[in-house]
Amino acid sequence: MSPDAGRGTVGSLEREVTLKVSPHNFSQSRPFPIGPGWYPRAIEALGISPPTADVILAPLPMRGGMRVVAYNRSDVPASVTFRMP
Amino acid sequence: MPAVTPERWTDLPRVKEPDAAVTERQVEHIVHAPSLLEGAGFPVRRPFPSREIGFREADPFLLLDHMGAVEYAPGEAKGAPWHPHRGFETVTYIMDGVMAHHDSQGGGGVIQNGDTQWMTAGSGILHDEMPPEELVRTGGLFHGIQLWVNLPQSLKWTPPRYQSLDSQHVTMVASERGDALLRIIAGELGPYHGSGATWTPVTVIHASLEPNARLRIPWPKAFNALAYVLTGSGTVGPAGVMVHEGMGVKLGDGEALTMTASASPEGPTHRLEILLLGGEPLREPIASYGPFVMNTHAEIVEAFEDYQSGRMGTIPAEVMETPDEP
Repeated sequence: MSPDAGRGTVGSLEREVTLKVSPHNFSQSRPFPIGPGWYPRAIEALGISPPTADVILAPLPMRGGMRVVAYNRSDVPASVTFRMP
Repeated sequence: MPAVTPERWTDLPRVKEPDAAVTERQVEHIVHAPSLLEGAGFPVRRPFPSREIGFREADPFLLLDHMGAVEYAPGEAKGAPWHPHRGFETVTYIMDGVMAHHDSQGGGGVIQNGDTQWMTAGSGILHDEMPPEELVRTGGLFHGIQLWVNLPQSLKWTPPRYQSLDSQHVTMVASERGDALLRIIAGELGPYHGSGATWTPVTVIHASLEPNARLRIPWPKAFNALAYVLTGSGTVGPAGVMVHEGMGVKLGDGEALTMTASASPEGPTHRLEILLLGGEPLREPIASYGPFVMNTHAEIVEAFEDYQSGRMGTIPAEVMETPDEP
């Protein structure tokens, strides 16, 4: 099993990740490495499915290190694609 | 371990042992703190929350991370870059080494060699906790803890504040026998009290026991009681449960805490270095996600939305001078 199983799928484009998010729930990526001087910046959703879903993204310190966290504000399951910081 | 250790303890005020008739607190749960990575990827040992000591047992405490002791090689030291908190307090106690911090309200400073930073995140704050450039460049010894103290529902939205508890102002007392040193960081121990102000009744003590020392101290009946071994070895409780570095203990009800140091405790100080924690349980629902600890899932979502939109605070421009990406 890939270490990323359940933590998003790494797409064909390097560092592009898709997370599935249940309605009114959180989902998180695998931890990503950070270097000196790093600080959190806005993370843009490259794609959301279905397009009507409302999903927001932000980096947060979680168990294991810094991860991208997604929250689905919609009533339907959604997936969100973004580029890992 | 420079965490404020006087050469002579015999001159310090002594904490009277409780009467023999007082109920001793027995060991209820023991945990070997698992290791995990935090922040930028530095290792910590986390005795709670854990399967053995969960939120209910630790209440009013939420989390304890033990950092080091570690001798960093040049370029190895890491910290926790900018991140938010809401709904609780972080207590950072540095025994060896130094950590620099900044926050979204324009505050900042260093915590080093026995200092404590008591940060009330309350309604929300962004901060970073990083090794200074000098420590990253040269490497060096680092040893500290971070404790999370919960806030009751009525205080979750209190404005953020800092208390810098300078090592020179830590309250130091000795055990009645004189063979244990107690640094009261916050709260009360008998008639003595630490310099840290707490929102709810909480006691935080770093105790150092000489080889073969026996420490018996009063502990408020209404408090819970937790102990964590920083270095060395010994026993806890009247039944003499053996403990060593990295072990956490939850004790049961009673009005006295007892512990002993082994004849030759391992570790850099050759003493049993143990953290003693107690407080009045809040007994409120806990909703927790990463750096947010509230009472309901809806409040956690609100915290995430506020952070994501910048309503929880922003990083001051002057600390963002170093670009991290081209």
